[in-house]
Order: sequence, then structure tokens, then C-alpha cells
Amino acid sequence: MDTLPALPTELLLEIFRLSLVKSREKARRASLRSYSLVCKSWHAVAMPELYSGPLDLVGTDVLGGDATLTGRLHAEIPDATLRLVHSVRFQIAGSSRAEQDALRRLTTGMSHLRKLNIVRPRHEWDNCATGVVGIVRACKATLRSLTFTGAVPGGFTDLLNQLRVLEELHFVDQGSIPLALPPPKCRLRALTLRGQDLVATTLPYLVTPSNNVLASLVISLERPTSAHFGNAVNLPHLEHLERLELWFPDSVNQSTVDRFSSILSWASQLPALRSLVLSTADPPGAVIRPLEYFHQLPPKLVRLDLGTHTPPGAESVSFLENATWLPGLRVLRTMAKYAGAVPEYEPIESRSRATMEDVARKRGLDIEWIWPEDLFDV
Amino acid sequence: MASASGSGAATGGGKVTLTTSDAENFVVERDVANRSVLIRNMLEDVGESDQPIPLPNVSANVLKKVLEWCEHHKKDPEPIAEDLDDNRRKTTEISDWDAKFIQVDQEMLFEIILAANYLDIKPLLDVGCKTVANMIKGKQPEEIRKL
Repeated sequence: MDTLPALPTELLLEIFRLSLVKSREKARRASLRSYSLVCKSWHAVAMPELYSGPLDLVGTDVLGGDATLTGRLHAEIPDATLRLVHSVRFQIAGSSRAEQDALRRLTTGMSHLRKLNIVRPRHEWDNCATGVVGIVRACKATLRSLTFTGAVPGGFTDLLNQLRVLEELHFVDQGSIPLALPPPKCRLRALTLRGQDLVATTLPYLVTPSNNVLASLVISLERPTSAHFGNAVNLPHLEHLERLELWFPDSVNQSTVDRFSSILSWASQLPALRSLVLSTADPPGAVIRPLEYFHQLPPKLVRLDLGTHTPPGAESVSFLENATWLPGLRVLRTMAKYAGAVPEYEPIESRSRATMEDVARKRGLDIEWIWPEDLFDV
Repeated sequence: MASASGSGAATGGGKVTLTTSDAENFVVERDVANRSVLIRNMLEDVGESDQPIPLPNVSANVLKKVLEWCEHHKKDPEPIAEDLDDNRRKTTEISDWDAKFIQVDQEMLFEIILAANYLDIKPLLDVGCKTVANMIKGKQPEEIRKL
């Protein structure tokens, strides 16, 4: 083997991605065009990101995602090509016969699959469940990353117990997940739990003292009334956790303030935590109060992402000035301004940004600003 | 450091035996072998057994090279979580030792990449991919096709 196209698709994409690093926009586009032409000449069906059309060449996202194979599988694709595919995002749109056929083809052709992302509406599950379970079983020896968006198939626990090398598991928009003993043997390094009640039930099931190497955790708390962290006795001690992203529906509603305090209190007990992201459904600019809650955060924290919570203003400046309790903090990501603020506010916000940058500079901190137009693509 | 052995699979003293696709055995320290997530998982699965670990996708000359890298990096910390790793991945710079290590002919370079991928040694895979990325940077399609 001495030629580039003999590498697995995911590695080719990684190489192309790396070669674009620090390229200026013009050079980047020229390179993308080159890669697209190269892959076309190789008939690299497994790289749809690169040849799905000239429009795709505009942005870097062309190289950024998983291969979406829905629809393409209807065409005749040699099994040899399928075997090159290591990453699939499969969207079940209507559980048609064509989709079921596609699932069957995946089952037989993709035993080397490492990353599988299944997206489906709950009502479209039954006809495709067998096919999805078949794919997961077929690649159980290689599958490292598994994402279910919508719901998990029946017998999920049995399935999970066969995935010995699984490192990443992501549940998105889930209801409850049927779980049963024994806990899985895989050692998860990254876990996403977006769905009601998943934290209290699923986290202690998936991460136990014997398999705990979890380094990255994304949690979404959808029910304001469920006090997962206020009653955290069942939660495992995540001593290796380096990155925590928390999504909660409302940070400023009085009824959730106590729970927010509990969350940060829990985060303070994570000795390896280096990156904390706080996301919310609040309108941009809703300030987390009181800021003193952050005093509980562990001192090793390097990056704090306040998402859309905290625009520049007296409170944010005060937050920074008093943030000596986070000696290791090097990056703060926060809103540059209120979304939808009237133009008259701009001079005030501009001064606040300058003050924050000045304070940050003095303590060796970088500020990454989030602009409303970036959020809403205005 | 690894030592090639033509016969038995016996291990001891914290060593493990790896068998290549061309049936050559390498006895290496466990610390060195553990740089490979695949081998580490296999060792955990077999427990204290003296059974050699078969590596059917790696030939002896490639494994020798891979083990040279593992030996040098055996005390490196484990890679950190994905997002914090981004900074490392956003650069194509390679350390001096790694750059010298990866100065091999093109066939060996691709074999090392495939082996690192199979053995799940992410830092070595990074070195290989970055090297190829630097090779193709700014090249025309015809030039890339020749690689």
C-alpha cells in the first residue's frame, strides 16, 4: 500500500482537513477544489462531502462532518467502497422500503464502521429498528462512537453490552432509556445525555467506578422540576472529567436558581475539570445571578464558556475583576452585546468590552466574544 | 525496547508478546504496548494470560517502527478530551523527534498510518496524517494523485 486513496476515508478527510489549517480563504478554496477533483478521479464514493457539488466547496464544513449516506445507497455502490466508509450519519426519513434496503446493505457492507449516527423521528422506528440493530451488531468490534437521535431500539442494553470498544455514546432528544443490569463493559470517554431524566438514571448506569474514564460529558436538563443535581447521591464521582457542558432551560427563573447552584456545586467536585460550557434557552443576555455561584468552580478550570448568558456590563466586569478564585482560567467565552439591543446601547457596550479586555489582559486571560449576528446568522 | 523473538509466546516481568502478520514475535514492555488502545483493551480482555497478542494487520517491519515510536513516547500523558485537544489538531507542527522518526519512504509512511489507525495510537496517527497533510498542501490535483 503506497497510495493515498488506499487510506480509509476518515483518514483522508483528516489529512485534507489538516492541510487546510491556517490556509487563507483563497488558498483554502483552491485546495478544496483540488481535493474534490482528486476524489472524483478516484471515484471515491465514500467521500460525498468532497464531491456533492461545487457549492460545497465554499465552506470548510465540506470537510467537517460525517458522511450522510441516505439516498446515495439507492445507487449501486460496490461493497469494496462501502468497506471504506468508517463513519455514517443515517437519517431515517420515512422508513420506506428503499431505506430498509439501504440499512440491509449497510449491515452487510460496513463491518468496519467506527462511527454511527442514527437520526430518526420516533414514529418512524419500527420498520427500521431491525436494520439499525443489525448494523450495530455487524460492527460491534470496531464501533467507537454511537449516536441516537430520537430513540433507542428495543433490547438496547443487550446491544450496548456487545460494544466493547465503544468510547463515545450520545443520546439526543431521548425519552427514558430502557436499561437493565449488568452495566456495559465499554469504557466511555465521551457521553451526551440530552433528554428528560437521563442524568439521574442513565449516567450512574453507564459510568461506574470500575469503568470510569469519562473525560467529556454533555448534559441537558429539560425538566425544570427534576432536581437531578440537588439530589446527587446516585451520581458517580467523575474524577477524570475534563470537559462538562450543561444545558438547562432557564437560568434566571427563580425556581431554577437553587438547582443551578447545585449544578455548580457538583461541578466544583470534579478535580480534573478544565472546560465548562453553560448553555441555556434563555434569551441572549439573561445574566446568571448571582455570579458568586461561580466561586465554587474548581481551580484547574482553563476555559469557561458562558454561552449567551452574560453580555458586557458592570456585572461582567465585576465578575472578571473578582475572578481571582480561578487562577488557571485562560479563556472566557461570552456575549459581546445584548441581542437586539438598540443602537444607542452600542457605545456603552463597547466601553464595557474594552474594560473587560483590559481587565482580562492584566490577568493573562483571552476573551472570545460571541456576536449576536453569529448566533442568528443575520 | 522491543526484542524480536522467533519462537515462543512466553511473557513475564510485565512484558507482552505481539505476533505480526508475518508470524514474527515481538516481546515488549507492557508500558510500551499500552500506547495502543487496541492492545490495551485486548490485554484487559485476556487478563494475565501468556497468550501472544495477534496483530494480523501489521507486518514485522512496520511494527518495529511503531514500537520505536511507542518506546520513545511511553511516558507521555494520555491525550485529553476531544475539545481541549482541538488546539493540538489545529496545527500541522510536529516535534523534532517525531519529524525525524517519520522521515521514511512513502510506502512506510502510509503503512505506519494504517498501523497507527488499526492499533488505535492517536498521537502517532496524528504525526502520520500531519506529515501527509504537509506533503499535499498547495499541490495541484495531478500532483496529489501521484502520491
